[in-house]
Amino acid sequence: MAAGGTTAAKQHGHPKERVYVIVAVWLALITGVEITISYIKMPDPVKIVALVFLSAIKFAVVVGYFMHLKFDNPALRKPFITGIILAGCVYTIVLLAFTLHSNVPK
Amino acid sequence: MAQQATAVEVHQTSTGIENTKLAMWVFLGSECLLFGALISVFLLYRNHSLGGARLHDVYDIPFTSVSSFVLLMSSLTMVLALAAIQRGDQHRLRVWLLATALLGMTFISGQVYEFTIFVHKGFTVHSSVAGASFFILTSFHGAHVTVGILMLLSLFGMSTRGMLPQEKATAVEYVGLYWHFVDIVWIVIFTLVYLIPAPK
Amino acid sequence: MATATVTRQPLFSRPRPSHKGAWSWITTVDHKRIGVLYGFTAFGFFLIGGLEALLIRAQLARPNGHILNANQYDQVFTMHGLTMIFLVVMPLSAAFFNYLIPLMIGARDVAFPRLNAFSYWVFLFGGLFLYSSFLLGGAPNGGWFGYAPLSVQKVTGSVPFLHNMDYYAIGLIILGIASTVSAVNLAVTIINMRAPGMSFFRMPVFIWMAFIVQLLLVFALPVVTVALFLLLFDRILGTSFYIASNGGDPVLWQHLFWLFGHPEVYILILPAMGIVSEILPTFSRKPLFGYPVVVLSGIAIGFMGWGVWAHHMFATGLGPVANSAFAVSTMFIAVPTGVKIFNWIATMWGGRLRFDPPLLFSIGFIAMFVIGGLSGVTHSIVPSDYQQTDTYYVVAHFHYVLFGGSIFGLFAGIYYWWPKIFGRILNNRIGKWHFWLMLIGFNVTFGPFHILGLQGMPRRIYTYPANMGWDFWNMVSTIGSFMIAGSVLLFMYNAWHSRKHGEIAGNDPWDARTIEWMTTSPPPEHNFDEIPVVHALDDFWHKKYVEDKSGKLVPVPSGGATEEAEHHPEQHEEAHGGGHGIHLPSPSYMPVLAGLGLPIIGYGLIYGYYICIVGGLILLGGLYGWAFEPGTE
Repeated sequence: MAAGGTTAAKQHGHPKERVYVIVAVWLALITGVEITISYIKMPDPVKIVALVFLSAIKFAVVVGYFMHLKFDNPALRKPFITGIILAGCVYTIVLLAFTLHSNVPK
Repeated sequence: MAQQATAVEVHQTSTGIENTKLAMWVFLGSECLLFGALISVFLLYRNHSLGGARLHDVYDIPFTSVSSFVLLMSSLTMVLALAAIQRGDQHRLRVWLLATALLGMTFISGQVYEFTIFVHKGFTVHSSVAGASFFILTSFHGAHVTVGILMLLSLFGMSTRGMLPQEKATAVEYVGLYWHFVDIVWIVIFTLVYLIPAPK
Repeated sequence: MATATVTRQPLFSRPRPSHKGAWSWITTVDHKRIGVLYGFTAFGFFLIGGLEALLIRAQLARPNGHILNANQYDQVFTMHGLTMIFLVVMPLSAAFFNYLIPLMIGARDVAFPRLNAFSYWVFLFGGLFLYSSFLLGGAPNGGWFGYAPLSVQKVTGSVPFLHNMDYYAIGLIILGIASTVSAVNLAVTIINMRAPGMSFFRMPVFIWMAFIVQLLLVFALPVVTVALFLLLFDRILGTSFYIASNGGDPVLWQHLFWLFGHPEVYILILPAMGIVSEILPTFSRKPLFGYPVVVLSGIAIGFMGWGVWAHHMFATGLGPVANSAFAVSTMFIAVPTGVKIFNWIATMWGGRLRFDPPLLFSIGFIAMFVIGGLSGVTHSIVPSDYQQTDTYYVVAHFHYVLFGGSIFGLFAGIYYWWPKIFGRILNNRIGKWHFWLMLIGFNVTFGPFHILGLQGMPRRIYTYPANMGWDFWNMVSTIGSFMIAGSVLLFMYNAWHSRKHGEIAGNDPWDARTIEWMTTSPPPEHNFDEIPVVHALDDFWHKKYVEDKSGKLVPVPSGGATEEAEHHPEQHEEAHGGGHGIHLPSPSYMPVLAGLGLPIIGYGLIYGYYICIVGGLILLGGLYGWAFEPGTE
């Protein structure tokens, strides 16, 4: 296995500026939908799932397009995704430990 | 920023990824654990108001929505700044860098204003552990934004002195990664702290 | 080298490259020198931590001891734990990582040399900051684990402890910054700077273990950083994150602390495991048995280590579901560790063993670590743990794995790589005396703790009454602790004696397998005249030997690549790698300057926020100076 290639000053596949603006417009729209949902009366679990889902999309879009992870070397995704999944798992367990069998009165 | 290779040297790396870029992503991975902890502490304690002022009594969703929109748009200006330097357009680079910094400063001002209102209404870092969790989380985020603004202004300064040529575009790229990260943390905070239904 | 358009005048001139004098050490960015700095500093703290241990043992030798009062004891045992974990084992591991990673992967330095120096200085300043507390009102006294709400208190009864635990929180945050920064640096180095042909599965096991440790550090340190900041805010801002009476929860501290703390124990043991995995094949003259399995076990430990933290919290009332889940995960994590033990034993089996100190310490490591691991497995059974927790049984367990394990493994590494680093071999006979005295002394000290624990002696007590039946074993333990001290003195004598009288080491005194032994001892500043191209695992060994038809090892006639270095002695003394066109990173004042800002900010948080501003300006000044000076001139 030879060493990986030399780093290039420019990478291939830069989205054009137009794409960035379109992405930004979508982000603004999704944010608008989120804010609207927060005002509408609906069962809490439904609202929470919808809001979390929408913000996850925004998160992924910023990471993929603005941070360019979609177009970069796949190896770059590993440290970041590891961090997210690890954080998600351990903190969920901690919060569960508190809510499922809490000794402290609220 | 200009720490490892300068423009002239080309670095051979085992993966083909620049060292600093890889380092930034590893660092951002670690920051997920940092903000994850702060967010979890907030979620744990959001009900613990001890009868005092509660966040959902004092917040102003429309106002915070505008702040969030401002920060979101700063990610756009950031990526436009990167595109500019990659094209060799120093003028546009400076315009978009300054715009990003100004949007960031607007966001911070909005936060400071919001916090003053909250404190005035009795929701403070001391009023309850719910208050403390909120302010510590948002302050850590705000501190990260502030560091980002300093880096953006430094890049702007470098560009005005001709120290940020096209070959050094990666400096803007790396600061951009940091800036976008700070934005996505806010995306999470805005949803989990402000938008999801208030605890009963 | 600088941009074509502007040559900025630096604020003050760059240090001239030099190998002599204190300034050359203060401004060095050479990973080998930084490794030596880590090693010597860590050893200094080892002596201090050892003195603290002797004080503890002197106090506990007899019931109703008078050597230390309760207040002093609390500070000594807290600082003993903090020192050994954060100022000895971690930096000693860092010393090996820093010195060896570039050499073992065929690189000339780490990815970010100035950041590397910065990590060292922040470590040193953090350790000094922590110890300055002894002179400034009292050292941390809430245990190294800092359990809330005790750690939040500023008074016990009528005795004030205004700032003791402020030093704890701030000191550990500063040390955490050093380790996080270093972990990012070394992770990138391992991923990105391997020699041509060195794929991940041709890396030495030591490098694999080092890599896993960096990833554990990077992900675990932020958690404890948050825990420590919340502690600090409870103390200096009056928040109540950990105060139950005001809406908080002390168990939150434990979750956040042990979320870090458990990966931390793997951070403490994996380097020793990596070291032993290099030594055993060399001293058995056999390849490591089951290399892929050993590597995968290490990776498994890295992952699974995140799923067991609450086994430190069985007695906090998490409930039967949580307790059972963590009990099972804890039992499971014994499996990959056990696999490694079998692989190490199989490596030695049938080999031509040379019982020199590196091998002796490695075998000692395996034996002691197995004992510590077994007591650990007994902890995983919850009802059994209820009996053991907070007793000396736990103290036995972690000393067997951390001293019998990590420290023995690190000493093995010291004996093994000392010739490479200093060019002389440590005396074999004195080394054997060191080993046996340390092994016996260690078991005499800590073996009885199992008994004392099961007899009910609690931990973290400054004395005990006379009629408990604990007197005998406590006295035995204290005698053992002085045996350990004697063995350390032997080692120090050996090190000093070898400066002038140690056998001169060639490139490869042990007939080893990995590529750091291809270059001179000590290596030139640029490490290798030519970066080796790697064709296989244990590439150096294959350059030296081939197997003939009957499987016997036959030396390769040309003697391999070692001759290359021997043919060009005159080119090894030049400062910048001589006429090879190698540009080495230039020395710099900025890392030590920037690092200086951090403890000053720390003092400011305790004594006055205006001091923080001074520290902040120094930090910023150092960082800006750093950003605007080129890496290489």
